[in-house]
Amino acid sequence: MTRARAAWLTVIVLVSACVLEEPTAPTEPAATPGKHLPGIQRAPGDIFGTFVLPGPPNNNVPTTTQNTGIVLPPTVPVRVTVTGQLRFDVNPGFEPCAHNPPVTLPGANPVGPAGFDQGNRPYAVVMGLGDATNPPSSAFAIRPLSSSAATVTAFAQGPGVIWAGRPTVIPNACEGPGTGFQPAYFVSGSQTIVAEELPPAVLNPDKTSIHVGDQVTFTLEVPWTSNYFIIGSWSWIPDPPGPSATRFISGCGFQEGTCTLEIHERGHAQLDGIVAEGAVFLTAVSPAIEVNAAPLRVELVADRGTLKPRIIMTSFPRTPSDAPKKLRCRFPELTADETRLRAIVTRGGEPVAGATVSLSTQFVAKSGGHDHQAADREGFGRFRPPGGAPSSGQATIDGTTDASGTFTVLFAAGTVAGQERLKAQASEGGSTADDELTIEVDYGDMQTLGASADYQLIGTTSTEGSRHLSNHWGFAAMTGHLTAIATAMRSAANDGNAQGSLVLRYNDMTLQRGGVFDLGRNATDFVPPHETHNRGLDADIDDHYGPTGTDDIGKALDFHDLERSVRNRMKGALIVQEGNHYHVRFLECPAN
Amino acid sequence: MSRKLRVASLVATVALAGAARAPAQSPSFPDVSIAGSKLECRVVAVVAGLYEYRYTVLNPGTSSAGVASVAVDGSAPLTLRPPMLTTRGFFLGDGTIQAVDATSGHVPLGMDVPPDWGGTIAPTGFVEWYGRGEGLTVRRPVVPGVESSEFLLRSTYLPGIRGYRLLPEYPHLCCPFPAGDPRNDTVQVKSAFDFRSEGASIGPTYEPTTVTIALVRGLRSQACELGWITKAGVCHSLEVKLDDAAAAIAENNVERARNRLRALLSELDAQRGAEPAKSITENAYWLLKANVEALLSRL
Repeated sequence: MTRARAAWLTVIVLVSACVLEEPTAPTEPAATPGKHLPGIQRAPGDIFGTFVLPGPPNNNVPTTTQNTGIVLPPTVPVRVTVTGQLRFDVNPGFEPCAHNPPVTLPGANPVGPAGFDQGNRPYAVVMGLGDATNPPSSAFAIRPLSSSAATVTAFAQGPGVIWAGRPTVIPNACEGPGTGFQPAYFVSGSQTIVAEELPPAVLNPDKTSIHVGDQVTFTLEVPWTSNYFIIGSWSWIPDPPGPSATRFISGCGFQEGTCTLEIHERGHAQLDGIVAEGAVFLTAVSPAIEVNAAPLRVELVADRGTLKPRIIMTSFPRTPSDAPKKLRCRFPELTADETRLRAIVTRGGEPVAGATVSLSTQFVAKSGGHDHQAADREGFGRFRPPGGAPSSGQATIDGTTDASGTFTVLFAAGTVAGQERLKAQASEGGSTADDELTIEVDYGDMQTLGASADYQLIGTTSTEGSRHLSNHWGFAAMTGHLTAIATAMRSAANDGNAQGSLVLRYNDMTLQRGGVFDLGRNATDFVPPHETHNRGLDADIDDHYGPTGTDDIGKALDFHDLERSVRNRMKGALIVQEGNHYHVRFLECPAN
Repeated sequence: MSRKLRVASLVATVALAGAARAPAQSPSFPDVSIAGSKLECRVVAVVAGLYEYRYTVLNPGTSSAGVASVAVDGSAPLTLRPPMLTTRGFFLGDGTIQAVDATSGHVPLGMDVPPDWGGTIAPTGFVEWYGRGEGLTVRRPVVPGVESSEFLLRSTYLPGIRGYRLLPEYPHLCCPFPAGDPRNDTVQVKSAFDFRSEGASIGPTYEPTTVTIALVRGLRSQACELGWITKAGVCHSLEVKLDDAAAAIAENNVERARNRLRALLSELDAQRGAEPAKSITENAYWLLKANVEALLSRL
């Protein structure tokens, strides 16, 4: 009979344990206030409060759900940690009463805040967010769900107050005649709840200070977890509020964690709808992007990068036979070559009208075969305004930009081939900008006269030649003529022996790109005499033969052999004696 | 432009206007004269199957310069540029083949080049002997008052009337004023071409199978017009013989034609020489003799 009564009581207690207990107000100011007072800025890592949830006296007593006094502010992500274990000790008075041993506990003993490992997790600390007087209607998800874990965590987000309790127990008790109430287990220990502020989600920009129109890429970071997903959208918030010219460039789409913007005003990026740990809704914000006034920029643009003045090879005016022999076919005209040049001034990608622009040109050192020119010097090309007379060209030119931010001029190649470095300086509103551009000046498609046993190449080591280390260039037809003439003249020089030792000595022809072939005593004169060597059609031939393979000078060259050899290649060619050499020009001169 | 570049070119495109003179503008460009100098073909012989043309240059004692270049027109259509026949002495090259601006080809040719002279064929088709030397000087020109018969052409072609050109020595090129003097740019530079002597002679012209009685009649007429046959009666006599021969050929009377042509050759021999006893020059004699003999050989 005693055993039967005890069993009945056990059933009663079990049933009562399944009834939702009424919550109770906190019985003590167990929550330890946070370290910040109202109005004082919080920071990640701050503790909102601590609450000690006392253990039940025995296994049959649920812990009432109670207000912990831990108040969570709105939107702030919070990590809630519960630490501590409850120890269950067998009541020695139970079995004599119940005539059965206590129920076996389903899990570790002592048991952690996740409760025992069965479906309803008895003795688990159940927390939720209510308000000051009303308990929560739902519970935090805690992890890990293991009876052996001494600490569990949950993530939460205010506003609200944390309530906590242990609503579920394993009832097991006996009350018989003479034994009184005997629980199966006595319980000892308590568990501590701590709420800690977590850092917010942020959008990290790759730069924070930019010029108008620069691009910035933002990357989402949730510092305390990687377990999140995005259901919101990206936006750009101008600061101060107002119209925005900022535009999306790439990324920024649905569920994308990066976004690139072209930014035109101060502000910040924002990404809504980040769900972290399945429980916390976050909005990520970037630091403010400071936008500075765009720098002034100038860009030099040439329609053509290479200018190719050309010799006029035909259509010489016929000169009367008794006219002075300063014939135009001796000094044929060169076609001028020029390009349109634009200096485009902008600020933040927008054209700047009225900016002052100065253009100048420099000849690039050693270019065009002018080895004597060791440093850059004033260029030979000339600027002129569109519509200006070709003769009005100047070494420098100034002007202002039009409504499109452009200053347009024409740039004509000079008589010296090589590289001209064009420079632009723009100024507007107290700031300046520079740009430069290199123009190639090339008088023709010259070919070099290669080495041969039929002639010597001289002049590169002479006083003058050292100024131009490569001086044997000409048009392909001319180099062909010179090769053939050398073959014929080698036979002539050696009494018909085509393999004799005496050969022609070829001196200056044309530089690699043509143009002025200066020969003055001053290293940088770029002036005649020798100017006629500018077109790939002229060659100087020493008036003495040289033994092949040596630099020696042999016997005097026979002008009559040379003249016939030249005319046998081009009957209209010119041959002139110049001091110690003959000057040959392979150009038909009908006036002769 | 370089002030050192001075024109002194010998360009082949000079108008054939005789020894035109420009007003002297500088004592540095002296005038010379080879007026009266001429070229005559004094023999056309058949040697080893080729016609050999032996030329004589006559430079009168009145000349002030030696003759340094002798050129005979050997031109042919541009498509005809055969290899050189036997050539002796220094031959520089064939400009009709080498020049990018050649305007002519040439008839089949070989040449003998005297010592100290060179030979070449210009892009115009002229066959030239030119004096060689050092620099601008010529070692062995045909000096005034001297005849030189050292110039020989050989060809498979029969003679026709051809132009010739003689150039004097002229060792002056550039420049009459000191270097850098702007007057150098405008001065009338002179060259040997300005003092050339030109005329007509005979030279290889006709491929033998193309020679006809009509062609020979035409050559006779030209020889008379050039004054190579100085007596009108002789011109007429030769014309009558050629007309008879033409008529006989038309009548297919070959023997009579041969007789008339042989009579013509006899008259050529009889009249060969200078006035007053004779009336046929060497040029006319060899022009007609070579062609008539070739015609006879094919009748």
